[in-house]
Amino acid sequence: MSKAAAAPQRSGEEVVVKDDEYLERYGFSDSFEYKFKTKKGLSEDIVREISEMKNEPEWMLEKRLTGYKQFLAKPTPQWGGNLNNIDYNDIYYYLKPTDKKGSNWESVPEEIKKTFDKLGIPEAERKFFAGAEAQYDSEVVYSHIREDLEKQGVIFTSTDEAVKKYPELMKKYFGTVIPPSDNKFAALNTATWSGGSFIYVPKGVKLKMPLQAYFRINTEKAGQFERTLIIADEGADVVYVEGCTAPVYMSSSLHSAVVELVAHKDAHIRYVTIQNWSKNVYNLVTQRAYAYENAHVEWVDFNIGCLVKGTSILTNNDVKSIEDLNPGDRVYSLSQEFEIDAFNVVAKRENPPTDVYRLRTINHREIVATRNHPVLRMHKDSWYNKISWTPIESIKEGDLVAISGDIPDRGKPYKITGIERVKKARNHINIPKETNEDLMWLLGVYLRDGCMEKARVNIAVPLTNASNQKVRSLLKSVFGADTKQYKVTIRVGSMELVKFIKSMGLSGNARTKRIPDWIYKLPKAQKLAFIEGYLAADGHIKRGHKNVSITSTNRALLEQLKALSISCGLNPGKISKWTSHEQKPLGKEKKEYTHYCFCFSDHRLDMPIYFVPVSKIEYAGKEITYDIEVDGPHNFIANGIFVHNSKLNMKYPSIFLKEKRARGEIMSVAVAGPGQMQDSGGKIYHLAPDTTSQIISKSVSSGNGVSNYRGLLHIAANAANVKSSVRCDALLLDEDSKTSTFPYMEVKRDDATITHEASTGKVGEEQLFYLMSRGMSEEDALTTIVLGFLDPLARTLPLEYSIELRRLIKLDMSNSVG
Amino acid sequence: MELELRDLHVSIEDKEILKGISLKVGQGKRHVIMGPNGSGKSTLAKAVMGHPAYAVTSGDILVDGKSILGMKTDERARLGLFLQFQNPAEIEGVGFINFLHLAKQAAGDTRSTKEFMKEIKEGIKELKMSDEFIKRPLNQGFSGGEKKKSEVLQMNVLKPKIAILDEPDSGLDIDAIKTVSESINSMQEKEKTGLLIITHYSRILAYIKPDVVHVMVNGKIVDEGGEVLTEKLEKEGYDSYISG
Repeated sequence: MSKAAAAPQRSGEEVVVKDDEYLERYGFSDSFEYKFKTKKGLSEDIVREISEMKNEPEWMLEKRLTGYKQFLAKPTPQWGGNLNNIDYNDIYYYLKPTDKKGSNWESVPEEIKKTFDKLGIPEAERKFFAGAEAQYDSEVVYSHIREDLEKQGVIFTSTDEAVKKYPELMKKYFGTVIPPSDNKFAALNTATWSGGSFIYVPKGVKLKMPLQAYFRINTEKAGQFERTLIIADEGADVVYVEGCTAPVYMSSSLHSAVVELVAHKDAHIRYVTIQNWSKNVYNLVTQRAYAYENAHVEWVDFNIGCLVKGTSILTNNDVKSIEDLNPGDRVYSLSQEFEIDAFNVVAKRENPPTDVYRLRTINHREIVATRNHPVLRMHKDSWYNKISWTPIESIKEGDLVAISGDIPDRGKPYKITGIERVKKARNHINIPKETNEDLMWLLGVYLRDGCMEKARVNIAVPLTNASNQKVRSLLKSVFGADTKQYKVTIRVGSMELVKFIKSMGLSGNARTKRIPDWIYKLPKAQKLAFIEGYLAADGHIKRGHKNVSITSTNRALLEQLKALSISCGLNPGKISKWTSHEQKPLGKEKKEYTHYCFCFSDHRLDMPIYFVPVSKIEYAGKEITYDIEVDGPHNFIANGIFVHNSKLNMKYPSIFLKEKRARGEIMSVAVAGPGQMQDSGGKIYHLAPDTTSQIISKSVSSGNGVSNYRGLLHIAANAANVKSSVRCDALLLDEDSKTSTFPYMEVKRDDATITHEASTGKVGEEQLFYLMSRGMSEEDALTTIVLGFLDPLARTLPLEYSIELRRLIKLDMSNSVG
Repeated sequence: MELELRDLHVSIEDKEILKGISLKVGQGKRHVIMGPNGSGKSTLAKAVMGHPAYAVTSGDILVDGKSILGMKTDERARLGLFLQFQNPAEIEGVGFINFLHLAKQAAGDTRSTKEFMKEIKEGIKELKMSDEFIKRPLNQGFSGGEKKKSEVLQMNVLKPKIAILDEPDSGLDIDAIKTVSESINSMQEKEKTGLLIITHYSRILAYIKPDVVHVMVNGKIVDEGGEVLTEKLEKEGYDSYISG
């Protein structure tokens, strides 16, 4: 048998995040709740504080502190995605109160509400999402379930409660499968864990009904570092389904859960996860099982992906270019309530060059993106307007798409620091401590018409210009600077002013000047003052129009100005190129001048969102594209147009077969839609003789989605007669989708029977034709084929989830059908 | 319902296969297209059903006088057209019964599931199939004979208005041909289905009596007539048409 296999490859995602503003908005807006929040960042004190708030016994505090020490000592794991960018000091580690406002039932997206209806989750439980009052109700439901199980001696409670009620079991098992020394994230979780489920099934008890995770949320609000522990004692049997509910509305962005399973002799545990399709967090779950003699452990993992997916966007959003955005940055998104608010970028990915299209609206907003990138479109559906995320490829000229209007003003004045006095300067000037409107107006004027010498600032504003007086008086009132008019120029002889302008990032000549980053972060009034200043000197008002137009040879600067204007709720026009030819009086030499012209309407947009017709969609070549994933509502504003973001997911459960005849199975399903990357697989360690394992990975990719399988098979030196089979089946729905397998084996014996099979299939034209010839729509036919492909794994699901799976796949497919 | 092909020209990858076919299949009528292998019979069947690889370059396909060229395969099926495949595609993990149920739903069929199941069971009995059959995945691992019977069973329960049967007898032994033919006959008489049977042997015609026989050679209808024409073909084969 062959030992060699491809090494796991690193993929290019970045991760992370933080966010205080979001937390404050959604649940920590009053001081009463503040006192339950630890400070940002992690320290021994914080760990002690968490333990104290939970009234934990000493032994648990000790475990936490051990975890903390290991966390400091461990390097960041290099398996899978890139995790090097996590700023651990920028995360809240413990948030006691529920973030009620963010999780009220009204704010739950419509599709999830429907899912709840379909799953038959009782009204009382649903009300959990509405806050405290409903929590009371949900207690009742939970008690009922618990009572039923208690008769059989089954414990099913939150891990927090288990620490207090079942200290013996907790001391015996907690952290034994995944010790804090295992990896950095396990250590982090041990130090800071909160929430999660604890299940103990006593000897010989075989539960007929699966335990479902949505009960979990009734006990204690799940934290960002959940800890789940499931113990099946000798001969016990339990199926646990972690459904598509609980963690959706957590305010955290780094989700680092730990799941430990212990299957004693002859026991069976099946752990089913249906990946939360609208989860807004990056998932770093460590899942591991120990299987003792003749025990049987199964991990079943369904990753269906986001309901609406998108891909890449090239150009800058209203604050930054997408290529300069990084996890942790904030972008504006459209919330469920149709308000614009700031959310975090949680991940970013660069894609190889692909075909891109340019979408332009009649008011000259434009984006360049891949054909499947969704934008928000409004269309008339019989007599009402329907708004939906629609891929660019399905948008036609004349369709209405959403653009941003008035964006909430969250800017703050810029603090000016570090300006040194020039000792030998003849006239000292006053430097304001922070920016104000007058200063910004002046800087706008400078950007347009200013230049500098070593000790002199020149602004080209002739006496005849209406703004001349204002420039001079503001220079006096803001800086206390004296001015002189020299021909068409206002001069300020001040080395300090020169240094100041340089330090503010405004130096450069007419072609190289740029708008520095800090300006985008100012309050709206200051940004407007800056734009006004820029236009004041020679912005041109067309006769009979309210529009201001302005020309410049510096196109990049005009693009920046346009983005800045959009962020102030202005409605800028398009930037067009003007070329004028001039014949020199002597000789035949012709000279060509290229200018860019940029029109401004003073019509202010006072609504957060507008729908405007698309004027053009055209092919724009092949380009490198970027995806960003945005926390919360999963969309962002790109060049003033709303677009949907994409989603990254990675997860690898593992099983340790510790005693003879133990069996382990890892089954995963990944459905990667347009713009998504799904990474799935698992690790199996054969540590005893006669152990058997099976890994089945099934993936479906459509619309340039990528699904990868990563697996590790380890066979220890003492593990005789091991049987293992790995099977990776991929189904590609179109030419653009991709799949890869990265099997990795560590085999220390030569008597192991290992089979590895991989197949890649395409949905055949004949299959589609056959099903359609029986009256099924293309979408139904595709769904049927995909479900058939997934059927062997879907059979492991409880019935209500299989129904749900069909619906989810169908939704996914509806995006694939052109 | 009436299906009409009007001077139909069909190409696959720019190669013309059908070179002007005209015929009409009316309600309750039994038509047979006979012809040697490679004459374009199966192409005709798939083109009528709207297979995306088969391009209609000129001419028209009409149902009750209206062109269906702009319709997708599923829309044509919902009009009441049915194609019995010579080699139906195998579909992993899709149970035969679930598949039939989806097809019923797609057709907007209002029969109750109970009633529907009853018909399927009767059909299985009539076709002398095993009860286990309906639990198996669609066409996967079906023998040639099972595939034919599966197709006939589908037709019997979906009750199309016009059915095109592409080689319904190939792969069947003598007993099975009789069973299948009787099943087709009883459905056809009850539902007044228009049939267009494609075959290159006349064996099945001993059981299903055609009203009209079309002879197709090299993408064209070269002869038409009543049942007597089959006797002529049985004796002389297609040689006279090919050389002539």
